[in-house]
Amino acid sequence: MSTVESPPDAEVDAVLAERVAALIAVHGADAPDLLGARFDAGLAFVHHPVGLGGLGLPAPWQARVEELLLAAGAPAPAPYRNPLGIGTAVPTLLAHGSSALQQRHFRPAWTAEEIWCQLFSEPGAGSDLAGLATRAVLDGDTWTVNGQKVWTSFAHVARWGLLLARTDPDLPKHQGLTMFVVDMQHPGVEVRPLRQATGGQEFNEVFFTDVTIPDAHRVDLRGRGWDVARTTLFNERSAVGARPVPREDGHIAWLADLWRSRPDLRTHEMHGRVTDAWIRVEALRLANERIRQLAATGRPGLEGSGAKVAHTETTQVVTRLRAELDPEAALRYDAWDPALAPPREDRVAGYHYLRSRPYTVEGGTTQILLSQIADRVLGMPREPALAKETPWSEIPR
Amino acid sequence: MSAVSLLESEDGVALAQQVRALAADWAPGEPRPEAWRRIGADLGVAGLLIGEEHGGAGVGMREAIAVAQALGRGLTVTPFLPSAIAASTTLLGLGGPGEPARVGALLTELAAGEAVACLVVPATTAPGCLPCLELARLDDDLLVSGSVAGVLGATGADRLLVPVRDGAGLIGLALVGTGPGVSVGAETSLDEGNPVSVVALQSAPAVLLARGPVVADAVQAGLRAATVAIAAELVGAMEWALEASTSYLADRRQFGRQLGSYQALRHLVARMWIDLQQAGAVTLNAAATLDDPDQPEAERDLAASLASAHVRTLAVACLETTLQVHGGIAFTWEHPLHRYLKRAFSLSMVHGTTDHHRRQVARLADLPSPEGEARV
Repeated sequence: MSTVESPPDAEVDAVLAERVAALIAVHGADAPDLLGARFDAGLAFVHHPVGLGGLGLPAPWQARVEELLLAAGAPAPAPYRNPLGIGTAVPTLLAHGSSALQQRHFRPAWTAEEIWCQLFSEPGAGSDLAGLATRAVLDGDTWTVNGQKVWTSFAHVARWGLLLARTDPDLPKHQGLTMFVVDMQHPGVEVRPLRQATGGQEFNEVFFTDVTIPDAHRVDLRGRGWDVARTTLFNERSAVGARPVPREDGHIAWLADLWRSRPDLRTHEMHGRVTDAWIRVEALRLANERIRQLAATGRPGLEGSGAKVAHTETTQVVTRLRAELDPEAALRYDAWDPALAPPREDRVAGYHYLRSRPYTVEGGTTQILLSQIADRVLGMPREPALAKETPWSEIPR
Repeated sequence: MSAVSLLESEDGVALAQQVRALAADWAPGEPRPEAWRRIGADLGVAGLLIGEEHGGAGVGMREAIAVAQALGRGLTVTPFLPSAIAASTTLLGLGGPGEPARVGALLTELAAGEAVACLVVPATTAPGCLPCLELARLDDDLLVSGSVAGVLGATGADRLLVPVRDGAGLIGLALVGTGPGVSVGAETSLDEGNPVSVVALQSAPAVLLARGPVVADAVQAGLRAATVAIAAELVGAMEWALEASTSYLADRRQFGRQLGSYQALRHLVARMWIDLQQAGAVTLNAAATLDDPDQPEAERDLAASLASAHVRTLAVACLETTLQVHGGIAFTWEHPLHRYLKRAFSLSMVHGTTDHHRRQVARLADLPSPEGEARV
């Protein structure tokens, strides 16, 4: 915490310690209402303004709050229950939403009483997200939405969605988009689960038929949707966590454990491949740890895109190797019916082999990310493209 | 495995900027007679690791790698690696309480840039190995005979540190100066800017600096520090390669377009950048781990071998890609690429091959070989 300069460290630390102690004293370390009370005490997002789950402190203090809570016996927060609410909807609304939207949504998103989804990708707009076609038409102070979204996680359980829609088709594609908060319980919203090659159903297709949205649920100005979406996607990609990742975490641990516990599987060739995989994962962990340390000093990093490319490709190597190392097991599968599947950490190697294949596609393909690095980090000449001022309605599709 | 700082040393970066500014107009890979006087002595780089009591700066590997990176980026020819890192770290390992007077005096000469030292072992010697010249007895003053080929940094060195062993297996480190009975002959080397030599000693007068197990430990520490400095040099070479590649792709036009607008080439350089981030991080980790007195020996060995295994692979590939990005121009003698490639490819085999360091990682990470034990 020595990198946080003002206000003075000791003073802030004392305030946080006092608040955590008061919180635990009133609610206990493991009470069901602890999350809500944390929000009310300003300990949910310390960098938020007072009243919106925060204390107006620099963001790095959040790590100190987590430390204090952990020391007090409180369970680690479970953002995985509402990752898109906490990870993307809240920061997006913080930067771009009206005060009314912030007041309404932050607390139930934090407590996971209201789950969020993110309605961006469409069948015709994957990598070219800004080319999306779902239309929102304004009449009075109500918008009417028609169109289709796809690859929407959590849509089947979501109470709210962050919806990117086209409001002005005759403007250039980036300028004709607007962001909305959409009620997923509206009768015109139909959610259909999308079955994947693993048998699992993590994603959905979402169909909008004459779904109405009050203009008060618009996020930022009409036509500013692309800027808002960039905030959302930036937060989605800042996946590098607040605390260091231990050595041999996740897939590589499963691979190393298999190698150590099954001498009968060892060959020289596999030894080389397992060692190489271990080196790649450890190097990646250190590169991410460096990004984390840079971020903690407030130095902005453009390294996120590179980390995603390296992480996904390395994970694919590791999951494939784990399956190949034990071929008897890799020929078999645990369950094609998601209702019968064991928890993720207990699934067979074949599942993880399959599930990691699209890692290099989802959340920004490797090719798009490499192009971004070439553009934004290395300042390379641009690829040939349609003139930026081409109206969306005139783009061939 | 407590987390070490993976941020650059600010002092190191400041010094590295001075080094780069000083050598900015020097042709990559061309030796300059004044190089070590100006960089080693004037900027204090010669005594970076040597304590203030001997006139050095007394800083650590985090600062040293910043300098190594600058030297690697400019392909500046100096005895930094063999003298200021490998030999100095070895001598520091013989120091401390009861330090032999000759060791202290030698460190003082090295820190001032007045003398240049070299460990007389084949450049392929990995940390943990110690090829010695055989002697009958290890007296304080002795005459050393024998020859060692493939020594890096011996041309230009005037203080030769020669590992020796007597008939009973006792190991010592002998200091040989230049003079009668000493000949250093540069071999025709793949990397002409950093050639290997044959050091031939014929009854060369020597002083025994130390004897016993401390010598093996000190040489091992010296070679381990050298592997980390090599990684940093290679990171510097990768920086040069990325810069050269991106500026060439922006300048060169074919089929009426800048080469840098072709996706296949843009993605090559984007991957070079990703590799550079990783190479930098593992090198910073190795330097910080060596500097941290709380890290166990195994953790230091692991950090150094991890950096070696990973950076050497990435750096050689990065320079090979640089040739592909440039096309034929980068295969001409006039273009500096071949000098960087020869340096990187040669360094990738110095003080343990990439494969050796990979096996070390496997051993230290408890990934046993098929025989059930890690082979070193």
